[in-house]
Amino acid sequence: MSQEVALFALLSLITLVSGYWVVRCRNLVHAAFWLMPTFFGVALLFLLLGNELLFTVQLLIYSGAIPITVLFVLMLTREVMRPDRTEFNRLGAFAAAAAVLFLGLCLAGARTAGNPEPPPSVPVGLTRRVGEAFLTDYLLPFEVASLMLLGAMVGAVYLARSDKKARSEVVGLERKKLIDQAREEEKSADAAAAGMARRRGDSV
Amino acid sequence: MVAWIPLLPAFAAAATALLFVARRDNRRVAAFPVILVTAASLALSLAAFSTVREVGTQTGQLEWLAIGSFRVSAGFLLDGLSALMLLVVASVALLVQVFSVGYMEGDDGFARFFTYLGLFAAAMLGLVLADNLLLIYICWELVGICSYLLIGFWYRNRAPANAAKKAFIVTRFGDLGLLVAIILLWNSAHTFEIAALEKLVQSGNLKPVFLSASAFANLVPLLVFLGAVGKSAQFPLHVWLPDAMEGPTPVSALIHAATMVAAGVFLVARLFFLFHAAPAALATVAWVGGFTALMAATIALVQTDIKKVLAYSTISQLGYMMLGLGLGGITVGMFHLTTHAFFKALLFLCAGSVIHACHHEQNLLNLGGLHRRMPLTSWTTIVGSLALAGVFPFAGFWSKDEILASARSQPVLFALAVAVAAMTAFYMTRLWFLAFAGEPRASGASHARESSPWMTVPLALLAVAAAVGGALNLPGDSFLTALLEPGRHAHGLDLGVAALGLAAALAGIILGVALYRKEPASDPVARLPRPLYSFLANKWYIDDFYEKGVARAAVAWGGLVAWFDRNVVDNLVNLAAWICALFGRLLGSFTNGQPQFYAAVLALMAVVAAALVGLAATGALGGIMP
Amino acid sequence: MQTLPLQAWLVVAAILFSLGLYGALARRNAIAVLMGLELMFAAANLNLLAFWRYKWVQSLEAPVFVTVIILVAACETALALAIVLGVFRRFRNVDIEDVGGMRG
Repeated sequence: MSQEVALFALLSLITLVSGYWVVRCRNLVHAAFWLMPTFFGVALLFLLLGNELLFTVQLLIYSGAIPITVLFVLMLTREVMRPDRTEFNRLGAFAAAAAVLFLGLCLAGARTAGNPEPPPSVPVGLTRRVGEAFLTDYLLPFEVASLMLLGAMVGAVYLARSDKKARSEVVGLERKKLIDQAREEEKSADAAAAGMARRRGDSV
Repeated sequence: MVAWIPLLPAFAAAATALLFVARRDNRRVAAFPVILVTAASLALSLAAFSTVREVGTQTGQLEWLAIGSFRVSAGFLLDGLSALMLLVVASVALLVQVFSVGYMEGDDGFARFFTYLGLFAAAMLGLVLADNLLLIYICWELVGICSYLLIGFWYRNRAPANAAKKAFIVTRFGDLGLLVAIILLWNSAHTFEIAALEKLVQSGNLKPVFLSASAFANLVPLLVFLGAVGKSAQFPLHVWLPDAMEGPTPVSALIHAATMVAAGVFLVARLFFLFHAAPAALATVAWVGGFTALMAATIALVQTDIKKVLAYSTISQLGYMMLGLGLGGITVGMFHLTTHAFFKALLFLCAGSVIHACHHEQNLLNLGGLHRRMPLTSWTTIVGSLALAGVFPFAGFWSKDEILASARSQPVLFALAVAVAAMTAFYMTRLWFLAFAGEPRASGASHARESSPWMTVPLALLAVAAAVGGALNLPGDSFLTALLEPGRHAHGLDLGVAALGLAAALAGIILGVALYRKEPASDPVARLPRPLYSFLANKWYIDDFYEKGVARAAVAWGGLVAWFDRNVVDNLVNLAAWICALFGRLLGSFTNGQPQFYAAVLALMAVVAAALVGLAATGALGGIMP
Repeated sequence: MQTLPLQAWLVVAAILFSLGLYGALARRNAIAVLMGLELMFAAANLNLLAFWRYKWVQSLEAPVFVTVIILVAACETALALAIVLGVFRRFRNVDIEDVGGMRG
């Protein structure tokens, strides 16, 4: 068993086990953390396939940025994660069956892929050539993709922007509640003080 | 021109409905559109009559329906028969309408009444003029619905509403027969046109389908006669006509004495060529007519309601007409129809005048003493009664004489006809004496006053017609025979028959005068032997038989069918709906609003599709997949 | 590389994809569903690159394509998370079963 096979087995194991925990973990914060080793394993598998560019991209975006974003959103919506409620819907068995069947189909398809010999080596300067290709042959997709990124950014900001009016209402309500609460406390304190004073007066 | 005769009243009825009924406006002026156009129709009818006399039969057609090879034309057939009927219908209708202005004054439904009268005039004139069976059938049903509407004119009361229903349902049995006859004729001849049918039948070229030639030749006229039995109130479908007296009296005069009930007689005369070919059918007509005449006359003897007496008299006289048709032919029947239309309309209008004057008192036993109070009504009643009784020289004498003369060959029917003539004379005498002679027996009659000219003028005009109507077909002259059956020789006056008929009438009158001249303490006919009197007073128990036997059986059968409908048919329908709902729920559960469920189904279907493609690639599916 | 067949890569990618599919179908929380989707993207990319390495190593389409996929997936994730935040603010809930606006 060559070194590469051992490496592949290890990385696959890391990826699949942490992937399993991503979908099975009850605590979503833990699941988001499990995303990191999963994507890290995938990135290393990319490297094993000889593609440093995508290794880097995968590492930066998937292992880094996306789990962090997910965690942010999880924190923001934290209050809905109730421990009394299962994190899985009623489709569990059905979804599992669908997934297993899909896996079976993929495996059946994989058998038909033949057994091609891989070329001995990855061409030198792949990253550079991909970069050049993006600025020549694939310039249009590149520009379109950049526009899409911009659009997605604006859209995300728009969607995630909180409604100022609604928030001010909420804030106002909460402030009023706090003020009322404070007044109540004040009153009861006064009453207690008066009662004490009376009792003291009685005893005197 | 001729087509306007029925169309004008139709437009007038529509105009009256639009102008007055919709606005709930019941002023007297609402009557005038209908009266004016009926007068115009009468004028046109007179013109048409003279045209027929001078030029002969007129026709006119236009294509009405074309559905593939099914073509129906609408047109008129103006021959002697229809010209005569036009005159009768238009003139009686006009006089009755004028009478109604007085009779219906102040009624809530004044405008509605004249709308119906206009519609009736249109339908009846259309029925008379129609040149094909389909048009006849439509008009036949239209006069039926007018009859229904007018019998139930005071629909807020229970009795008129029930009478209207009874008339509609009972005549339906007859109408069904007519419809079947029309369908059979169409199937065999592929035409509705009367002239074409007549030619086919007379040349023997009619090839019946379904039935053998002889069965067809007998069945079709019998079915037509069934329609006539319903419309003309012959036994056994006569029960609706006495009840129809719940309608306003002018309606009884126009529809249920003079015109619509005569439509059955007219229909038999119109399709007489069918009966010619079937002696058995003709004999049936004669016997049914004779029997009906006798039965109704006996019932009329004991009735105490003035309109019921006249109603049974009408049934009896219609039976007489059928007898005349069956034995003597078109002219005999139609002659009596014509004279009867005048004198029976007269008698009904007289009764209307009495009823109007006596505050809707219809019971003969509560009337009396009206001769002094309503002289004109009384005298016209006398004229009408003499005409009905068949006293020389009034109209009824001549037409009845022809029927009697044609019955000479049939001793039984002849004896029956003579007996009916005597009874007719008797019950009319009884009617007059009870209503007009002596002293008033109730407050209604004692305060009676002669009716307004709106009512008395039509009475006088009709009385003239009833007196001299016999001149239409005097034995020597035979004007009507030439008109209706050209080429046929009119028979002369058979003095023996005439004398016998007259003797029977006089016998009836004398008996009536003898019994009723001195104010009797109680109705003498009530002193008949009890079983006989109950038998007659209960109208031969025919209504009871229908009510207790036929109607109850029908209701029981209806209950059974309703049970079947509610429990079997409804449940089958519910089952179908339930199955649909089940499938709906089943399929609807797939759209449960859960996107993840959709995605899961999508994934599964992707697996299935890919598996199918894969299997097809290996050839495992054979030729199913491309 | 000589001893490692193409099928090995495909099997790993298939398992990863199925895990992602299961997560996307069975999770309640919209964010967890998104995580499942990310796994499926990664599996697809892995599959694509495995084929690239074994069959078309000289061509640039696969690396370019995967780059674009990653980019699009990142956009998608950003927007989806923004939507989740919007839904959360509106319904105080990000449970897909409860946010039933898609009921037909």
